Amino acid sequence: MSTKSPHPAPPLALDSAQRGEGPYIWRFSLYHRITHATVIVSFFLLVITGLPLRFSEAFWAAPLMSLLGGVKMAGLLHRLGAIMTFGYFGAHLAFLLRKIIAAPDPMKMFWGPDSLVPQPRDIVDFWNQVRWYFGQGPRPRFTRWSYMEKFDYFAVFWGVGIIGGSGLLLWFPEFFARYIPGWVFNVATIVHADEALLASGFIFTIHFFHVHFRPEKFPLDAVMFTGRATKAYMEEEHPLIMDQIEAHEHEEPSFAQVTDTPAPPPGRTASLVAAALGFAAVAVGLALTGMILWAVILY
Amino acid sequence: MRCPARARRRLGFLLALWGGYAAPALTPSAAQAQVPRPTCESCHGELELLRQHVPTLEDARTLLAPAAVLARSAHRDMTCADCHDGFRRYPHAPSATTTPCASCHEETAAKWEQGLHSLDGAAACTDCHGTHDVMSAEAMAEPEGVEAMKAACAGCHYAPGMPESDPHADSVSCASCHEAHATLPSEDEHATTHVLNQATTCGACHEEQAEAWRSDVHGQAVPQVATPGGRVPEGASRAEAPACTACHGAHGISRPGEPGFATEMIESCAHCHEHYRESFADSYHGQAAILGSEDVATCHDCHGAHGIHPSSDPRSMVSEANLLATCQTCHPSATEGFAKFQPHADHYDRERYPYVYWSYHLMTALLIGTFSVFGLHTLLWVARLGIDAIRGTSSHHHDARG
Repeated sequence: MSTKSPHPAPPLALDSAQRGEGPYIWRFSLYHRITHATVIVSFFLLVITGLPLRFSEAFWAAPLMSLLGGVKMAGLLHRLGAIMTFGYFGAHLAFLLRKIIAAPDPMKMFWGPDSLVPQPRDIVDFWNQVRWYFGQGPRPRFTRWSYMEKFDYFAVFWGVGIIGGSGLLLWFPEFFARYIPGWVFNVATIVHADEALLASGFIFTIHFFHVHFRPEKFPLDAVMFTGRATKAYMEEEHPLIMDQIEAHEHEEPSFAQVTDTPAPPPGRTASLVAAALGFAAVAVGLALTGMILWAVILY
Repeated sequence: MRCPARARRRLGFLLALWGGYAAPALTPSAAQAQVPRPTCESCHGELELLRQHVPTLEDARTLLAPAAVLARSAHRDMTCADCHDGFRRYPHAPSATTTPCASCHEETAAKWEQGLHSLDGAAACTDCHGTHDVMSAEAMAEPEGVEAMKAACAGCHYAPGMPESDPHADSVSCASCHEAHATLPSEDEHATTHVLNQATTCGACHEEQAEAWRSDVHGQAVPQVATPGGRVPEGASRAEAPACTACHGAHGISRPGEPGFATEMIESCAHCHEHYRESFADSYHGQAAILGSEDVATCHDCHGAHGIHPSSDPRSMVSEANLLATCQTCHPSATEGFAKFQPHADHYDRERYPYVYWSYHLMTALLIGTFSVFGLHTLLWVARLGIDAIRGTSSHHHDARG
């Protein structure tokens, strides 16, 4: 696979997905990028409006609440975030269904090197990663999705199910109380808040490190915003899929939405916008992490 | 109004005396008789004149009694001699004294004797009432009088003061609550502000609230708590017996429904019921209330304010029979199941709240477990890359591949 764009823009050094030599390949379709952007916006909306309640006695809680326009306004924004979440979640289920129906070989979605489903090789990869930490072996070579990425993907399913479900109970308590006893709302309050804390803490530390902060990626990986990455990036992050692509260069692309086709380099403006969005999200996430840590340690 | 009458009689007597022998002594010649007779006002109405006869300006001011001031005094119908009998002659006799207020105001003086202001001359009549501008009890109840009393009391009692935000600030005088003459500190059980007497004192205006309180859990507890040797709940003190001021404070009372009232009340209740504040703060009601929401239920919305009873009492707003109706005041479509919500679920109390206990502990374990595994995974990653960087060996797989 090799392509040369007629007017190549100089790569943006801040974006680690533009590292090394071209050519670029598509990793995320427009649908994926819009979905992920919706996840970011709705997630921040939910965290910012929910966090002051969870840590209502922290010093920053009341000022943040008044900044948001008071408890009532924060509640409305939180519900807006919830509607966005249920929206992208439903849309994604529809997207998956359509793909299963349309795919020539749908089983490849559920198993194999292109699948997001955790498989024995992920346990092996994890084990090899630990061995590598202790100098007992080479660094594992990942396929299309590393076990960390699979965890991130399914964490959203788990999170939307648990937090969304408990949130729905708390949104319409009078209605649900016709069918379930009142103490379930006590449990829902705890589960909703702690699961949300788990999700935000995980995204703002583990996900951020894995995607943006480790030396190969620092300071930013904008592949999810521009949708494309260089061959050099792919060979380091997903070497096995590159092997596969190179071996079958002249065959039809696999079922995967990632079309594995050559991509034009991202334009200068697109790169800058992507970097700005990425840095803004990282900055807000880190600030929220500081607030959480402050509250957890002091209260 | 026995005094002015007596005063007038005495005035008549004095004039008779004066006509009998004082006049000839003062009028030796016909020329001098042309000059208007000197009165008290002649000297005591003129500050400048007084100043020439006394050592300091301060002394002159004390002796000043201009007609304009006397005219708006409660004693305006009396004569100077009614109080200053010994000063009728000029030059005044050095031994002359002013008639004590008590000679007319016997009952008031007796009350004052019982109060703390009589101790070591802490505050005598004129310290609060002034001298020639003394106000009547009726005038004291007018806004101008309330202001005057606040100023007089504040002369010594500048703390705690009465903030302007207090609903009593403009309309209620100090004496309305503190008893004007038998004034005692609130620790004294005869004081109108003592915990045992607050319901009577405040109840003079807030009758309904005082009546409801008398039979509620706080009203019933106060006589016990306030009596030496009575049972005091753990964490509380005898002085904190839950009468009016324990919850509302005394100076700087907030008006119900005003912003901040609910949060203040939560703190008041928490003063004794801290455990319930903590569990309340874990619920949405508590979290939103702490952040200033005026829409959520706080303590008194569910428990009542002045008719609080334990949930075992059928009169209680949270008794089995009344609980659903209480929930329905905010949640109109609430059902029996809805009322099974536990607004004070303590996640450390496994006996009473097993589901809450287990969900809290399982969630905590999930958080600690997840962050431990992935935190370690991340830290080891950092460590490996750090070691490789120091050693100058690249850790990228293509090296390993080759």
